[in-house]
Amino acid sequence: MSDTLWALLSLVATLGFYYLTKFVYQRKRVLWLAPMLVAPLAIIALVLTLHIPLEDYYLYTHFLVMLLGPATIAFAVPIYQQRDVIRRYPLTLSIGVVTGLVLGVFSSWVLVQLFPMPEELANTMLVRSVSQPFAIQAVGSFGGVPDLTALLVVITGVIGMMVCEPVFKLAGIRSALAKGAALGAASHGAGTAKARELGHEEGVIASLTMIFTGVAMVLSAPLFGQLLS
Amino acid sequence: MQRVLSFSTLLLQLSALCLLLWLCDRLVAWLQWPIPGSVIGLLILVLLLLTRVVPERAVGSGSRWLLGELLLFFIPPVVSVLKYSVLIREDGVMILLTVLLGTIMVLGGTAWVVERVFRFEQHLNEQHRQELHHV
Repeated sequence: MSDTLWALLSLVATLGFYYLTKFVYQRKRVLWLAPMLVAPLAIIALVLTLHIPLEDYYLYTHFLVMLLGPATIAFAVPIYQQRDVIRRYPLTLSIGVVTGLVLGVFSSWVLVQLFPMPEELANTMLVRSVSQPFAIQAVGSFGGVPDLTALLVVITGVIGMMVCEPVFKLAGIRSALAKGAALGAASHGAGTAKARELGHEEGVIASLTMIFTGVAMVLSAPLFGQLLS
Repeated sequence: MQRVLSFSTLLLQLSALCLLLWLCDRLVAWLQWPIPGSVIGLLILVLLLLTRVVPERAVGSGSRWLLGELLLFFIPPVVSVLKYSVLIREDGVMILLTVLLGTIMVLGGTAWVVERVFRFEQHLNEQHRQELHHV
């Protein structure tokens, strides 16, 4: 089959699996059907079984990835909409963001010292706790690889959704703000979706914490990179 | 007709956001800043919204669509992990363990700190309200 045909098939399959899994998940909300998990897995399976060359897979689908740029700018709207919440809890939010960011980078840094792994993988680990568009922007400063970033960020999101409730119970966390901030800081978009299930306030705080942690990560990445290298 | 209209509004808003990104990328390249244009664009758009230079509805549907379909945009980067299939096979367990322990630390630590700061800030807000009441 020619390159363009593979590329076209890849784009159609990516769009198709995405909207299909999204449709299914809207009707049946179980973690194992979450589109962030099932859609990439289905496409990876397709690429492997049909032996689609990766260059052909990217030929058209890379236009989708380019939309991560304007999507980053779009985060300005929820910040603007929730400006009253920011005005009410400036201290809680900023301390949540700083704690989440610092813990995110340093917990990974400590763990990769304990569990030996290839350097590019270890460096990529450091950005895994922030939202996808920010992580992909920041990973270069840490000496990590964009090709590994997306996967680590997705795994972080899924694990955060799974473990948050027992962790909150063990740590004796009761306030909506603490739960929301932790979910937004530790598991970005997936955590924010989980926080919305816990409650409205949790969801708002999670989404703000996620955005601010992502911005803070990108802004401080050059500094962190120098500090840790 | 309504659908055509809202679709063209969406396209227009998406183009405006892309234009802003392009301008910010040029600015960052010109100033040689180590910060990506998209993040500068985000900060500029927040300022434009706060000062009401740009009304919320001028970017509302575009941003709602972009943030709603965010997942679609990073499916190809997840697929690109195939380039590292050997690494994933060899270090898969380590990866999962590191992410699991790290995520528990960030979740627990952030929640613990924020729980305490929140109580303090609530106390401050309460005090502030009482002071206003007395005056």
